[in-house]
Amino acid sequence: MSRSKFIILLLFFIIILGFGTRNRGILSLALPLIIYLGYALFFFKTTEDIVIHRSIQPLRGDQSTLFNISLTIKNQGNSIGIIRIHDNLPEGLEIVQGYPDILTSLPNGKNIQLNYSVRGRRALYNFKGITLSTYDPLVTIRSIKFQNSEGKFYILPDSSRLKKINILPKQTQLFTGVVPSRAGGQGVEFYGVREYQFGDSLPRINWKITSRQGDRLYTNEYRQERVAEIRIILDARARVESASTSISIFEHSVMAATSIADTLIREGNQVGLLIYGKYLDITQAGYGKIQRERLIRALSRASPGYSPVFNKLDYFPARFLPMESQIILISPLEIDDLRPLLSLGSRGYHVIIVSPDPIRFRMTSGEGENQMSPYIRIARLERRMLFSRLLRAGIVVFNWDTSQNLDQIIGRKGMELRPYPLRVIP
Amino acid sequence: MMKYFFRSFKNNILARSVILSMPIIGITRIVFVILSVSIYAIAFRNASHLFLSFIPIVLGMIWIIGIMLDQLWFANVIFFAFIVCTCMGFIFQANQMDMIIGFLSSLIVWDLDHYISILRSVSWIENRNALVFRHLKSLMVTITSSVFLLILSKMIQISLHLVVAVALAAGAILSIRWLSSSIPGHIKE
Repeated sequence: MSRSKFIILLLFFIIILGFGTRNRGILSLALPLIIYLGYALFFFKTTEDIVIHRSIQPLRGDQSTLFNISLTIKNQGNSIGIIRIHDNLPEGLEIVQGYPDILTSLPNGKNIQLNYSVRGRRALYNFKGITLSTYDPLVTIRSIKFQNSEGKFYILPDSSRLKKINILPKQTQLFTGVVPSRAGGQGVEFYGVREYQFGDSLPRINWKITSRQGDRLYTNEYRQERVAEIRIILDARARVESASTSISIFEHSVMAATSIADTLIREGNQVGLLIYGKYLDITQAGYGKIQRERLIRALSRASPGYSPVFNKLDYFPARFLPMESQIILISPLEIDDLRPLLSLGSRGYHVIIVSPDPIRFRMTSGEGENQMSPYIRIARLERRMLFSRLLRAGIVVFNWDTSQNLDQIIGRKGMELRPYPLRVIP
Repeated sequence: MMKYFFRSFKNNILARSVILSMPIIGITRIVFVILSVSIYAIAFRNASHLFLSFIPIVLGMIWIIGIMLDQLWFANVIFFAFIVCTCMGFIFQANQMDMIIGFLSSLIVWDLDHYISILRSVSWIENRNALVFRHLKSLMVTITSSVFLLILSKMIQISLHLVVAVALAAGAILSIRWLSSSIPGHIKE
């Protein structure tokens, strides 16, 4: 209850009791309260003419970056005796230096500078505005006003640098890149031998076969290296999320998606992103640094969420994916994800799954059961069975122990990805 | 209960250091609680109501504990209880001037309780001393004018007919209602 309302209630009480008992003394008690409230009302001033300017430096950074927020508040209206200026911080930010709120007086034309530094976890932080509470000199009456002062900054996800991601999509693009295509031509990797045609380079003639055949010349063909169109799908369903006090498995998934997107973009590929969780957050495929920034920003604002529609992969919108394109799914996976994934493979998509291991994650974060517990063993068996069925359908699965570097898993020497691998990696 | 009390007490040692940084408010609060309690107790004893004189002492002790624990609702409850005490004093023929001084002292403590809670809720106060002195000045103005008007009301005595008194009461209630509706407090965008 506000102070002014409390005083009014007391006044009611005193007046009713005073008249009820016909006691002048009791009635006289109302006088100090009326003077108190009257003084507050008489000297209470508010203003509509407050101009706020917000500046944030830098506008993007990682989790160790200090973001300096500066608010300049100028009063262009009535002088205000006491004002509280409170900047409404988005959730998840930690104040490192300075203060986001101040109690002060604000005469006409006076500027007030509010400076503070914050740090936070990966996210898009949107500042909506500030709350201005104006008081009378006795701090009895308060007028609260919300004033817009927007601003935003990104705290980008962590990423580890991957040396190379070996993919072999069924279709590649026109431009030269580093992804081996399924067509012969200029390249490095041997593809086949064909009859010599006019214009073929002489060093490419296969002299062994030519001498064996005798009458005709034969040339070696190499796998053409092209850029590919790749879709990264980040599983942001709340049901696959597993969080410890310090970090969640979803953060590892985001980190993996960022690292993979960064590597693929650097290799010149056309990369798109689909975040599958509370809703579908689609970033159309594209090339280059601007696309990299788009992807990283989309990953910055990704958060796990629940949707009755997208709770299972059954309603996965394959229509958003180009035919026979390369798909990289980053998901801890659930046992009922098998059928939709098999269906995706059967439609001609080349699917790679990077699966952060939730069992290992819970055990390393100290929240899991004993390693020998029957629950853990059953969970492991289920996961192994899921993987073996995916592999049989030609889907490559990287079972990622999140305590290890992702590059060690994906870029392991000799782990060339082929359309039909024979085992789970590792 | 006792455990909670002692933990709260311990946790509030730091908070109380804020009071020490503003000794004027801190000391004033305690002094006025003691003053108020003593005046009430003496007034009730002089009016031969020994039992009633213990009530303000207990209330004062609770209020001081509330100040230590930094619990604002204590202030509202005890202030209301002090008003009831004052009314009882008027009904049981205690000294009227004592009752009024006791009431004004409790009003000062109640005001400072709220003021200090607002100061504590803010992380940075610019020109803290200037703000505190401005508040104390305003408080002194209201208390002085109250005392002046109360003395004036004692000097001027008008006898009213019952109908006029009822009409005045209705007028007072209506004007308080108007006053309450004119007080801002809602959030504007």
